[in-house]
Amino acid sequence: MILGADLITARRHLWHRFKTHPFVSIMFFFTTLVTLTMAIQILYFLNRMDWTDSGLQLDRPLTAVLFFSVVLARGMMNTYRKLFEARELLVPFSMPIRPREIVKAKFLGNLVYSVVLYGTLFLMTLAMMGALGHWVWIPPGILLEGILLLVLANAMGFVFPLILQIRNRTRKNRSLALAGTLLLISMVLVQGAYRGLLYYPTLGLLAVSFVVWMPLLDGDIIPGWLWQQSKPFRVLWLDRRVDRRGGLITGSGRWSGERFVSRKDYLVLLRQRDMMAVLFSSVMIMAVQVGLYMFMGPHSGFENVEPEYSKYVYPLFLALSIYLAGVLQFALLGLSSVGMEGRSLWILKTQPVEAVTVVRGKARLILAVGLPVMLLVALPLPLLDGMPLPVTLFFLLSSVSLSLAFTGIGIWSGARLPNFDETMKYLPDLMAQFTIVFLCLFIALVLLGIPAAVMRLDTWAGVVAAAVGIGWGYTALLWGIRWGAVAFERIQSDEYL
Amino acid sequence: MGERKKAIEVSGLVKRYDDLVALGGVSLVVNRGEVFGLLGSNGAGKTTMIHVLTGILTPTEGTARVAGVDVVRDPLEVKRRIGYLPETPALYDRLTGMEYLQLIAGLRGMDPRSIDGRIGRFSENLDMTRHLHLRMGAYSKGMKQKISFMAAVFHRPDILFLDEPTSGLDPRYSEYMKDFIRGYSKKGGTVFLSTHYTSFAQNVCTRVAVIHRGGVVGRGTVEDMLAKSGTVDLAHAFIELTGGPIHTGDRG
Repeated sequence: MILGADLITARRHLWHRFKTHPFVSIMFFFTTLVTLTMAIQILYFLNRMDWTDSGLQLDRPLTAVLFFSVVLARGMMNTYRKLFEARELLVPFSMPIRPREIVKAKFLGNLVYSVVLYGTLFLMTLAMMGALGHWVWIPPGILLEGILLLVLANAMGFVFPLILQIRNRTRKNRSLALAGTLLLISMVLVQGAYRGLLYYPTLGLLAVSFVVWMPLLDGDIIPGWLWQQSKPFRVLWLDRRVDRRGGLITGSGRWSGERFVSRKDYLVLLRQRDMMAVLFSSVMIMAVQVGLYMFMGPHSGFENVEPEYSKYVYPLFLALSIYLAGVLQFALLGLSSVGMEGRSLWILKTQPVEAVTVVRGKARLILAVGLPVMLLVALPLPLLDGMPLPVTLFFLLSSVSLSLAFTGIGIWSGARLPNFDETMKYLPDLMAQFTIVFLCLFIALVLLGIPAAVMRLDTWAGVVAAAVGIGWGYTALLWGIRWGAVAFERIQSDEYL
Repeated sequence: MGERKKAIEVSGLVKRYDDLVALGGVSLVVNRGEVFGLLGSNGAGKTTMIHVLTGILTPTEGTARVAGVDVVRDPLEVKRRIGYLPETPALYDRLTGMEYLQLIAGLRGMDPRSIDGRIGRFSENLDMTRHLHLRMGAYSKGMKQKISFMAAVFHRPDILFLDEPTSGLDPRYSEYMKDFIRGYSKKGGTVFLSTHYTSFAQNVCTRVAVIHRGGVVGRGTVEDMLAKSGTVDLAHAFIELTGGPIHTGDRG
């Protein structure tokens, strides 16, 4: 019943979005196709490129680990959103059914959604490869491995949050130790330590064990849900300390409507931990850079890479880091910036404040919080690896241009495709999220790639090109604010109330 | 009737959702200083009407003017002149009551530091002073209603839109709400309230309209409505106008 309701809701949501925003939906579809084409071309190019002695091989275990980690992380987030943070579950929980029935329905819903989503992406990739005539080698058995990994990661994604809700500390620790061990075994297997005959049965066994584990946690589901429901009202010391510094973030001087919107968003995001989660992700990206450098050492010492290519390894990694931090910090925050109003949107909509003021206020907060973090993400590798000053400047300037452009895209798409559903963390469906991420990739390739190409010809000219990129980024921001405001203006009360 | 006397003027208002007609050509006029009650059963179109008049929903057809301003052409100016209390106000759970009121003050171009003077009397009367620094997520339904009411009135609007204003309030505060509405109207303010509590409407409204399935099926002063239905209770007039009483079977 619950699974059916979830599936019908998802289907109607997609159909409603297509009906209300046909142009944007079609544009998003084509952006996905273009990005897939680009990705295939890059893979094809890399496969043909002979830049080490053995040539670059696409690493299947690494791909599997990444896929597994993404699905696992998503599964865990979904469990929190759709189970523990979902207020509407009060009704099903008060019905004469066991809580595990609800968990089972949510798990199956998540699994079906994942299979449809990743299956569609896989089929689209195959179709595009066929259309382009560029076949990238696909290892045999990848389909079976993919399905097993989907089931395993989704089941783990449900069991871990359930364990974390256990109130009995001893039982919680024991369960965590067991689940952690099984996760470790899974990761070791997936990352390619063993690919023998028993690989698939072992993966299947692990998946089944997690699926069977779920109903055994039946008694912990409702207490965990109740605890999570009361969580927003706890005041943590960190909140109070950071609250006092709100003025630094939202600006000083004369109070304007724009600044009030920024301050409101700042307090809400801070207190629902979203901002902390995003900042933490960016700090992790920084930590990975430092860790990578500690592990690999200076680029001059690379043994497996031709000397003429070795100097590009860290810049490439840095570019990837800036892109990822930018997507998290600006595009995704922007994407949820209007949806986060939820049913409370009536408040902003009934005040005498122009849509552009609201959208500008939201963009202002995203930039105020994200820009310093972005500059910090762009600094560790240039400093550690002793990159020349122009290269360091290039990355600092490029990180600013990407921040501006990604905020513009995020804020526009957030107003164009708002999702007022708290259980989805106010983000639009996954396809739209992917498309925005791909669109950002395309923009990053332009804003980083063109100045980088100029830099290969003349170092300082590359720096100037990166500075010009800030102008393009700012243009994208203004465009995002302008059209975001138009979209915000058009939102009708029946969409959120 | 002089244009300057009209606070709200609605003409041929239609709101359609695909095949569903929420408002089917409603026309009405509310004068300045009036307490006008829009009565209707659940789903009759009362809230849709208020959403259109407050500028958060665009009508499919027809025109609506609030304080002499067209709600479609200049919704911002309309919003400057009005205060709005929704039926079930969804608030920012993570903000405190005071932060919320400061936000509203800021969005209305007022100095947030002046807020204490403006809300002091309301917060005392509504027993909200000690709750203003708590997060609104912890508020009861009645407290949410009270804080939303304060946010709707502290800027002293010309016209007040109240959607089921006593929803979630105990009898003591319901009485306070009635007194406030009467006093506000005496001072020249206009109140447009929507309710399905006929006794409340009978107590405070100078004129009422009954809306049923998106159309106005009756209107006039409370006395007119009572005279037409031949009863002393507005509830009976309402039941007659909205399809008569529902007869239950043996088991309800």
